[in-house]
Amino acid sequence: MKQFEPLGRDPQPAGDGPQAPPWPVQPSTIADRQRDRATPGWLPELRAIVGPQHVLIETADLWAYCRDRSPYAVFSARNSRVPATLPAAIACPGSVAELSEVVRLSRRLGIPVIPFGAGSGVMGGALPVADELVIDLKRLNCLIDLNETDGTATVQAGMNGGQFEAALNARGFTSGHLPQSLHMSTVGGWAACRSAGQSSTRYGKIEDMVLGLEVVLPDGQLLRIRPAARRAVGPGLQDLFIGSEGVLGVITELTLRVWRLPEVRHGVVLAFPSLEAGFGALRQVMQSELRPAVARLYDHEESQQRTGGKGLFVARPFLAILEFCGSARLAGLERDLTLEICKAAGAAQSDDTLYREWLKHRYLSYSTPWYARDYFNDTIEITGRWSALPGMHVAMHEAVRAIAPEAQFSMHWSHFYPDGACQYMTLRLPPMPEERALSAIRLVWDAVTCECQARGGSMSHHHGVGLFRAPWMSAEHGTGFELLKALKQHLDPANLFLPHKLGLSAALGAKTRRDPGS
Amino acid sequence: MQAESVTPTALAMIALAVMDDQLPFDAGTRAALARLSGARSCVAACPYGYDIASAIADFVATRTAVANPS
Repeated sequence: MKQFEPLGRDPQPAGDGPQAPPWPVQPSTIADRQRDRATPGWLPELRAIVGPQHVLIETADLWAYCRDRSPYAVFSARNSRVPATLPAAIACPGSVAELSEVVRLSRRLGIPVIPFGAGSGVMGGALPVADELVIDLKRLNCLIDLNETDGTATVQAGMNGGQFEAALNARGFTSGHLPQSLHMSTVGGWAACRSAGQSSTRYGKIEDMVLGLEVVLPDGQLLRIRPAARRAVGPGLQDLFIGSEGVLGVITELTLRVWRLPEVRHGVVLAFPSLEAGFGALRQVMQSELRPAVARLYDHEESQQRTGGKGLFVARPFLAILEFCGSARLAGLERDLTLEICKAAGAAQSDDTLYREWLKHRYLSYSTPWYARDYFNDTIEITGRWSALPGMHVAMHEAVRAIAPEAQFSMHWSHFYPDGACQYMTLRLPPMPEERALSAIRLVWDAVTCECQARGGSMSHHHGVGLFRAPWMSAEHGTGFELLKALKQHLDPANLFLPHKLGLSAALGAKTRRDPGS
Repeated sequence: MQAESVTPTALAMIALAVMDDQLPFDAGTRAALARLSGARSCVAACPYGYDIASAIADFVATRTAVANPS
């Protein structure tokens, strides 16, 4: 029987200082993790399923999978440290049948697995933490069908997001799902992580776009949810998998609603006199059933970074960038009605330079230049109701200032709804001893998350849970968390699919025992 | 080959680990760093304008020359 050794730092010592859930993992050198590994005895069976050329076991290849885009993993990678463990091996199945066989092998022999798209998550969800077999889905990468009558596309889960969008564009369509990570994510990953794109205010989030799914369950069975515009045949099975981050099954194919490429795009740049004016105007825009494709309202710091505080932005320092797209008549009308509302709230319209600047850099990470200067750059995104956002903004600023006065902490609001918005916060710690930085980060996460939940918000709008948000899942869901755990127990009783992720199984640091015969 | 370890990000990670003496420049590592066709094919698509494939090829050539001086 395999016994998993506890990982992670010791809990913070009791004392007068603030406490926060500790980091669940501890980095180590590649050599140390390689020394801890044994060559898996199931490699010949795995090679027989996917072909020997599609099984990777060299250390360099295993190392390549020890990352996602979380700051923790990025800093570990920069220092050539393994965030937790090396994977046991990598398998790259070329068909759903091969994937299903790999999963059955995993079930029979008790092999923990991680389905891997492109590793663009930021919550540690894709990080190996228990010597897992990583199943790389990128060979399942075809656009299977584009139905121009129904406006639907059927695509394999491992297709790169940018390539998917390009394939649709070539035929006059768009997915409408354009996250910053477009070119470094997969369509299956979008659904698994319940993602939101930058144009979501118009086109919806991924759960609004997915009409049907194919999933390989933890017992190797194939589940097909036929695409339909809507169904009322019991609870929606799709939602068990959209946002499950792989812990309940591997998404292999999706059918999505797609859209004709818009005739026009209008960028609008506004300067608001206050955040309250901006909140009020954008709330009214959304509650008037207008649908800008993009709507972004920046706080003072983020506005200053973009505007330099010059020109119109001296007296009206709060920047908003909007985009309207669609048919020429509709986009023009929505733009004009929105402008009426915003100007009545005291906004002035600038030229579209800042919109075009945003457009040019929309798929680039803002973190890179800060990482290069050894700043620890992290982002936290939450959902808040309109009535709660002003208070959240102030309370979270105060909390962060109390924990790390030297931190840069700024935010913007986007992904708007009639009833609220996503508040997207950026935290930057200047270069400092790593132990202090990691402690401060965890305290900030705890303060911000608890403040959000106390004010009726959700702790994640679209980055998900992964490993690092697991401690707050019980508070997020209440009784519902027991339902999720029961579902996990039913579908994956041996806890082989992404153990320790989403907080649905024993926390890292607790000894777990695995019966390979289960 | 459609695998993470042939992506520009992964190739850069592998090369950095070799530079940091955290990963041996052995046959397995050299084989991983030789798989550059995917990275070459997406040079034009890099939003940052990097040519990781060429950088890796140069690094391997330099490292090999150091390991096998003539």
